[in-house]
Amino acid sequence: MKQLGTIFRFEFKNYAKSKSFLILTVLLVVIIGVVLDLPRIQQFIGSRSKPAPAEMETVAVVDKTGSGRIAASLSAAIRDKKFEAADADIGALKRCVEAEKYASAVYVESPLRYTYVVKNIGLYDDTKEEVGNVLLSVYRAQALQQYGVPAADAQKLLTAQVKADVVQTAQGKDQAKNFFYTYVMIFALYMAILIYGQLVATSVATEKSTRAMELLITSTKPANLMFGKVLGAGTAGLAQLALILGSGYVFYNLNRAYFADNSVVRSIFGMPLSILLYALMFFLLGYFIYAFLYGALGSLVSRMEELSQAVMPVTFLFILAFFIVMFSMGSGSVDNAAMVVCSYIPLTSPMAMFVRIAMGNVSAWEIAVSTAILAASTIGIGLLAASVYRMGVLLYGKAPKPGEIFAMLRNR
Amino acid sequence: MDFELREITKSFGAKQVLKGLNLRAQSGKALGLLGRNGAGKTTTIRIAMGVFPPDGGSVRIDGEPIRRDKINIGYLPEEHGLYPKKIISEQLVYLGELRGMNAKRAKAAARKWLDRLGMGEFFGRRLDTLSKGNQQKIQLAAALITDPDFIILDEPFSGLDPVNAMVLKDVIRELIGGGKLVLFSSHQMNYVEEFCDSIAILNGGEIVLSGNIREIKRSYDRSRLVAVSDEPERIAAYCRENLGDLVETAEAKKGEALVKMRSAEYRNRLVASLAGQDFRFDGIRVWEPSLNDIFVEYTEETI
Repeated sequence: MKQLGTIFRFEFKNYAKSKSFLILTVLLVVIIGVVLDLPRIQQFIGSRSKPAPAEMETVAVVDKTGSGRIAASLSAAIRDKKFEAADADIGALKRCVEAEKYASAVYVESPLRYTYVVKNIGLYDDTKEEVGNVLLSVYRAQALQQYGVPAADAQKLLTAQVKADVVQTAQGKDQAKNFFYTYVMIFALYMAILIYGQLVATSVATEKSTRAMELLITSTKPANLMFGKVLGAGTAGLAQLALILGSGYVFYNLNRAYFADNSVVRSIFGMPLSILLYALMFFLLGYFIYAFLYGALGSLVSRMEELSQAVMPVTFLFILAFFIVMFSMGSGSVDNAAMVVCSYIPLTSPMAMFVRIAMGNVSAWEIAVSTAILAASTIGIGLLAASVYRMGVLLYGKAPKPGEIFAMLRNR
Repeated sequence: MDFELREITKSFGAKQVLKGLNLRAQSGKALGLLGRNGAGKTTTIRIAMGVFPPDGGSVRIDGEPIRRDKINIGYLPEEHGLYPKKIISEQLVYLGELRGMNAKRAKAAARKWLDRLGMGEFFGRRLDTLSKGNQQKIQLAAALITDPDFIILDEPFSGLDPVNAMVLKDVIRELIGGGKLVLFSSHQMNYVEEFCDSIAILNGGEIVLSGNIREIKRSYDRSRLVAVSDEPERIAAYCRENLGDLVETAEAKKGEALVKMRSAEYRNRLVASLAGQDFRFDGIRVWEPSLNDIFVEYTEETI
C-alpha cells in the first residue's frame, strides 16, 4: 500500500508538472474567462463608442403596392436598420447594392410579394424574415380595416399574445433546458477519458521502451505500478477538470447579470448538483475502465511507434459510443433503443447512462443496474489488465496478438 | 549470507529457458554469471530477484526459501533502467522510496552515492543531459541507494571510459570487501577475472561449468610452459634442437615461446635447462587458459 502511495504521488506530480498539462489548463481557464467576460467587455467598449444612426445599415425600399406606407412601417418595426424609400427597378437596385450604396434593398411588388436584394448573406441575417413579418402585419391590418374593423381593434387583434404556463411532473425533464449542460459534461467526459486514458498508455509504453521498467519491476509489484499510474493520471485529470469547470463557475458568477437573457449559458451553469455528482461518478468509473485497458495495451508494445496502433480498437469503440450519444442528443430521443442498450454496456454506459439521466426518463433501478454492471466490469477489467500488464512489461519484440495474450494468460 | 538457486526450471510457452539450474553465491565474494546471448542469464536474474517465480526448484537464502520482504537486492540492469527526461535526484529518491526508504533518507543516500561516484554536481540535472558513461554511474547509484546486501550487476562497465571504469572498479571492490554478495554478469572476461572468485557458465538453460576460477584453470593440462622474452624464436629453436627428450613442440609467437613438454613433471628440468642459457627472460610460467578460452570452449558448440 505504501508503494502504491509512492507511485501515485510520483505519477501525479509527473502529470501535473508537465508543460502540456500546465499550458492546456491555463489556456482553457483564460479562454473560459475571456468568453464569460465578453459581454462585460463588449458593454465597456460599447459605452465608449456608441454607433451613430448614420452608421446603421441602410436598406432601400421600393414600394410598388401603392400604399406608400411600407418604408415607414419597416422603420417603425425594425429599429436597428435605416429604411430609405427609393424608386428603381430590380436591376438598378442590384447595381446600388453591388456598389455598396445600400447594404441591401427590398423591392415590394404587392402586399404579399417582395424581393430581397443583398450582396452577402450573413450567418445571422434575419432581414428577410423581419421584412416578411412586417409586410404580413401591414397586409392583415389593411384587410381588417377593409372588413370594417377599426384600426385600434385591428392593432389589438394583430398584437394579441397567448399566455401559457407549463407544469412539469416531478419525473419530467426539460430537454431544451438540459441540453447545454449535458452537452458540456459529455464533451468534458469524452475529452478527459480519452486524454488521460491515452496518457496512461503512453506512460507505460515509455517506461518499457526506455527500459525504466527493468528497474521498477524489481522494486515493486507490477500491479502497484499500473494502479498507481492509473490513479495518478486520473487524479491529475480530475484536478484539471475541477480547475477548468470551477474557473468557469467563478467567471459566470462574476458576470451573472450579463447572462440574464442568455438561456444557453444559464442552462450550463444552472446544472443541478445531482447531475454534477452523476457526472463525477461516471467520469471516475469510465476513466478507470478505459485507463486499465489503455495501461494493459501500453504494456504490450516495445516501441512508442507501435502504441497508436495497439490502442486504436479501444479508442475507436469510445469514439463510437460518443457519436451514438451525440446523435441521440441531437435527435432529442435520448431513450431510444441504441441508448438503452449502450447504457448497460460497460464501455459505453458512462456516457449513455449519464445522458439518459440528464435528459431522458430513467428510473432509479435502471441507474443502479447500469452502475453496478459498470463498477463490477471496472474491477474485472482492472484485474485482467493487471495480469496482462504483469506479463506484458517483460515482453519485448513484436506485440502479441489477442489470441496469444489469452493463451499466455491461460498458461500463467 | 548464502544465496542458492536450486534445480530451477522455467519455460515461456513451449520454450524451456532454464533446465534444472543450480547456482550458489556467498557474501563477501563475487560470482560471475556468464553465458552467450539467449542463454538464460536475464531469466535467472529475474528469478533471483523474484520478478517472476520459477516453474520448479527453489530460491534459498542460508538454506531457507527466500522471503522477498527480508532481502534487500540492488540491481543494475544491462539496459538503462531510468527515465531519460526526469531529474536524477527525483528518480533516485523515487526508487529509494519504492524500496522502503523514507524520502529524507532516500535523498541523503542519493546525495551520498552521487558524491561517491563523482557525480554530485548532477544531482538536480536531467538524466539525458549526461554522457553515456555518467548515465551508467547514475544507474549504479540507483542500484546501491538502499545499501543492499545482494547486488546484481549486469554489464556494469558497458560504455565506460577507462577513468570512469576505475571509479566503478573501486566501488565494486569496496562492496565485495564490505561483505556484500555480488552477482556479476558480463561478456567482458577481464572484469570477471578481476572481481570474481568463482564463475558459473550458463548454456542452453543449464550450468555447464561452475566453480572457483583458479581451480578451473588449474584443472587444465599443465604440461605447457610460456617463456616471456624479446627473443622467443631463439628459445623455441633451442628447445626443439637440444631438449628433444623433454619437449614435444616449441613455437614462438608475439613475445612468447610456448613449449609443450612431454610430461608436466619435466617442468623443473626444463626451467633449469633454459635458465642455464643466456636468454633474456621477462618471465617463465605454466600456461593456463584465459577465461575467454574457457568460455568459448564451453559455449561455442550450442545455440
